Amino acid sequence: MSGAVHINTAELFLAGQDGSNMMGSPLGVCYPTTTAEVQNAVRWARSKGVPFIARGAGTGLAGGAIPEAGSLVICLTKMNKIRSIDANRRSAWVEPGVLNADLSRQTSREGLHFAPDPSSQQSCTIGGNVANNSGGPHCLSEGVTSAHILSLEVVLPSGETCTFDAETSLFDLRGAFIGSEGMFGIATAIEVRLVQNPPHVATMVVGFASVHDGALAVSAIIAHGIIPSALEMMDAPITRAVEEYVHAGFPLDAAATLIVEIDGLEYSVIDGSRQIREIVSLFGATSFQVAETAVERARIWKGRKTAFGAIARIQPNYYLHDTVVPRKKLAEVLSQVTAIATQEQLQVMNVFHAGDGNLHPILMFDKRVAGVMDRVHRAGAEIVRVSLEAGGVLSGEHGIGLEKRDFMRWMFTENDLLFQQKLRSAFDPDGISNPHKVLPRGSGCSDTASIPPGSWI
Amino acid sequence: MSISSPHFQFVNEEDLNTCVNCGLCLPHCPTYRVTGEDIYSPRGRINLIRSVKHGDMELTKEVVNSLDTCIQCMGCEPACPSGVQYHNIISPVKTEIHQRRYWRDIPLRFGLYVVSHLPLLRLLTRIISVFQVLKAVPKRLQIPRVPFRRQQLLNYPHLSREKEVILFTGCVMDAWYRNVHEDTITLLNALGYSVVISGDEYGCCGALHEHAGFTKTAEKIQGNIPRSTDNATIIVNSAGCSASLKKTFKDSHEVLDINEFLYRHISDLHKLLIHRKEKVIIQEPCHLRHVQGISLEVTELLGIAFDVVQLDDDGLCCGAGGSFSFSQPEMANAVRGRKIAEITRVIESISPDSVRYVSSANPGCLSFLSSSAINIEIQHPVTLLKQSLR
Amino acid sequence: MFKNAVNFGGAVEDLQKKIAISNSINIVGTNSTGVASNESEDEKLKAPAGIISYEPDELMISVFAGTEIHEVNIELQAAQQRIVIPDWGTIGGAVATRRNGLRETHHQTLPNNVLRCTVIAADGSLYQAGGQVVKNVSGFDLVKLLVGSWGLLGLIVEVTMRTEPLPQVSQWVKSAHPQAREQASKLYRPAVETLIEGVTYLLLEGHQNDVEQQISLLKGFALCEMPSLSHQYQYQNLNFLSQGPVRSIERGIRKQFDPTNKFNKKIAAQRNLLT
Repeated sequence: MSGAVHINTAELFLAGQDGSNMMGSPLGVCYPTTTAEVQNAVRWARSKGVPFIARGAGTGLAGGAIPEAGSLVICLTKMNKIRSIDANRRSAWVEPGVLNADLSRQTSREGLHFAPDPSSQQSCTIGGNVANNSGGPHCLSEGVTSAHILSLEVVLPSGETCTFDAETSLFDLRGAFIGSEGMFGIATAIEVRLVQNPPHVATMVVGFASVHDGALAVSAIIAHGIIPSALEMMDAPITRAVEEYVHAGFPLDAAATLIVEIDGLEYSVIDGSRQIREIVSLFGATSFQVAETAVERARIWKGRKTAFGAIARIQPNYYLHDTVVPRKKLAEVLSQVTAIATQEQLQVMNVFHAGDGNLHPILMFDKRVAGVMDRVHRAGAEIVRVSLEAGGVLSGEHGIGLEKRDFMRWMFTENDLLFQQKLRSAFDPDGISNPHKVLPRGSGCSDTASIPPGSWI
Repeated sequence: MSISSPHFQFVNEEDLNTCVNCGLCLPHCPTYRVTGEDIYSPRGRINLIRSVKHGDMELTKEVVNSLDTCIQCMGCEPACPSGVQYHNIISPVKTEIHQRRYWRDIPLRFGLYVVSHLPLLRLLTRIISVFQVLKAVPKRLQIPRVPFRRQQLLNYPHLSREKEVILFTGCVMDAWYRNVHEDTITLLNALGYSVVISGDEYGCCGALHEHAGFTKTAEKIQGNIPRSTDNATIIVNSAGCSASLKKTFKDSHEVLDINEFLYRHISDLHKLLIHRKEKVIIQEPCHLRHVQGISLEVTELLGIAFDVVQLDDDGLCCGAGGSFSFSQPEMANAVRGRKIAEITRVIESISPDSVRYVSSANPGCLSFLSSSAINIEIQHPVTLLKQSLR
Repeated sequence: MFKNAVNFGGAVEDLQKKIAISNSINIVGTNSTGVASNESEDEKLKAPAGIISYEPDELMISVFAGTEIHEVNIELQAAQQRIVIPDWGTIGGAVATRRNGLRETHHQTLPNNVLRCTVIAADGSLYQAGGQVVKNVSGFDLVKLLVGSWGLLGLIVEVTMRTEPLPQVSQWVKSAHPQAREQASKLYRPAVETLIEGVTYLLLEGHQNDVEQQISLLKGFALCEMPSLSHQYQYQNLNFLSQGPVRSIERGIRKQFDPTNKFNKKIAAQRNLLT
């Protein structure tokens, strides 16, 4: 069953979609269970001159998992075993289909966890985290996925397998591979670093009378030399939407809510929380609560992490953006985002990793309304523009995929892009591994065919 | 933009539109968990239903299989941040599919006919028990050991009209798990309640039929359930039935699952029960946890008498799913295999033989788990609590 | 219009011109690694020095790669901050050789702290990798490739790094006891845990009370100064030859980035990466 390529219309239709609003039309989908089967699939694709694309849970939002027309989807969800856990070395070998949250669950008895915690961590796979160099609220202090991967077993686009780690190469091929969105080959086993669960945690929910005040408080906390383990912001509409779903006790009268979490040893947590409390009150906090129990804390995080799904309670469709700006520009860019949405007559909500300056404006709409898609596209492009103007970058953690591919030129020169393409060519000279993502068309890039129909929302 | 299709027109367009394709439901779906294939996930099924409804896709055998293999555990609903009403989508689809293939479902129809006719069910139970002694019942039928003799239910005289409840005895529960009824009565008596047995006129509640997509039959059965003039609370000790009866009696009677009822008397139970220093794992029936939202209550109840060990799988289904294990044995067995592996993992993470019981408050789960190779005692929580009375 | 492109001034432009016409270039900072070429035909080039911008509130500093690390540290200390590189040689040298110092085991090693690099390529053109925000990567992660690339992929002229606040207390402890590592596993994330010549060294940082409490958990450890290391300790990966497909990729990268073997020929030859 696992060796077979499925070609029925139902499965092809589903393999053509991910968490974005785009759609591709693959040639077949297969579910390998071993590295050798992945190798066979890649070799088969190679021999037929067919592009291939690795797929995890399909929760990506930038269309990185949308298959090129006529390509083979290699779905890795059946490779979901944790091969070994080494509690002494604080590491584990896992297959790419292991779910992010499952790994931390299985290591909780050792007092360890896998630090990257994207909002989709219940569903998303470690393989997908590697492909997108995923972040999450706690990467503010822990670093993104790249900081938590020790080695990778990879099936290269040539069909060969090899291992990337700290010892076997001069160049950091491991680091280069992480975040390559499936364009450098397929990781079939991943050695992850596990970190100790913090002995003390304080999770604070702080309300502000304006988004501006909240944003200034964020900059101030970091500038004060405190690195919280997470520092998140939600604006009033999204706070109301999630409160309805999780009942976490978020302040419904606040224009902006910060979730500030600080963890570690006892005194650093006590001292840190005290300082944070002083700083936020200096910046006009209107409410301040500390979660008393693990259950309360879990509820706050559930609210934060399911926020974007809760949007369907307001509008049937949404477009979740992902850009990064310098922290000091947060307040300014947020007001620009609001102005852009007003200009295009769209509702916008903000729920994001404020400590990293990683914005996630969510444009909400009903795609059945005539002409709305044009307005959404225009607003999306404008948000990218203002973020870059403020000195930011295109993507914090969702990746470039198809969604932001054509914005790459806004951030990089042709020469910058040429060197990214050179790196791709060294891994995949024929451009058959997830072609036509990340790099814009016509940038001296070998991936020149057409984009999948219906791409970009 | 899409042409009309002859299929799934009863599915509400707004319900379909609520799904934003985020995929947060995936790990909460038992069939996705065991296959890793999108076609066996709630998101996939919603996408397929939408496409078929809009005429963008044929109702192919793969689509039918995808929908047939949905256990309707509703684990996806509480997990969905968008609040997709998945039951509103899948129920009319299941009904429509069954209507389209009358003959293929004959064995299932026969089974459901039996449970809704008590004398027949009792007769067959006796025959099965004889065959079980002779070891002549095929294993693939997944029938647990059934009793030959029907226990008589103790019936205490009425103490007071104030504290009187009706115990809904049902069909399979009554034929196979009379001991649970007996334990329920003992517990209720201990709490000072007198119990009226609903008796044979309240046989099958129709939940199994409804779940399997035989809506009309279910409606007929539900219509035939007599409405007692007595307005006492109806207590149900089968999670699937309590979920269904709450709807049936919503205008006339208060219906409570036994766990819900006992939880209201938890302070009395603290006085009545002893702590046994034994470990129990709770397997949460989907109709209790996902449909009725009763979860922590059971943990607290059993916590009075036992050390409760939690499964860390978000209450994923065991695969029984009403008649699902009968109509889709392959998928059901795979789902059960995952549940048993999880139970085993949790036990071994403490120490082998550390856990004495698995508890489940639904006859379907009890019998489906019991008929597996699992080497641990599986009991209804009521039985465990009754055994712990001082 | 919003591109990374920054005007780095005449010194960088001069280097670009020189590289464009040269055939063989040896990139040297202070030669702290001791691997500078002695070949007479090699043109020895050094990145410019100086701090370009420093924003303590953003926890970020941008410097020319030829800046010496101790100069950077002086600047940072004034704002109660630091960077996590051992205090010798130049920033460019530390980045090119992936000099993590003793923090190898901790996640905040050098690669995760380099946010942006500006590089002169073999044809004299300028390219940039990363961005000046904490989540710096858009597209492929060239920064990771450049950190530890030993000058084989171009001359790094500018580096933007993450800085971090100085901890309230920093204390080294050591023990030569065979069970010392087991003891260390009781601690919560020591900043450094390393074994040098049979001695376990730990660096504990943070709030004074926490550090004291952590030390009280240890048996048989003594307070000490930071252990001194031979510079050579850092360069284990230099004398290692990759095999099979990994080597093909490494050669492929070198060929793509430096098709005429212009940069650091001696190191490339040592690593069998000449193309």
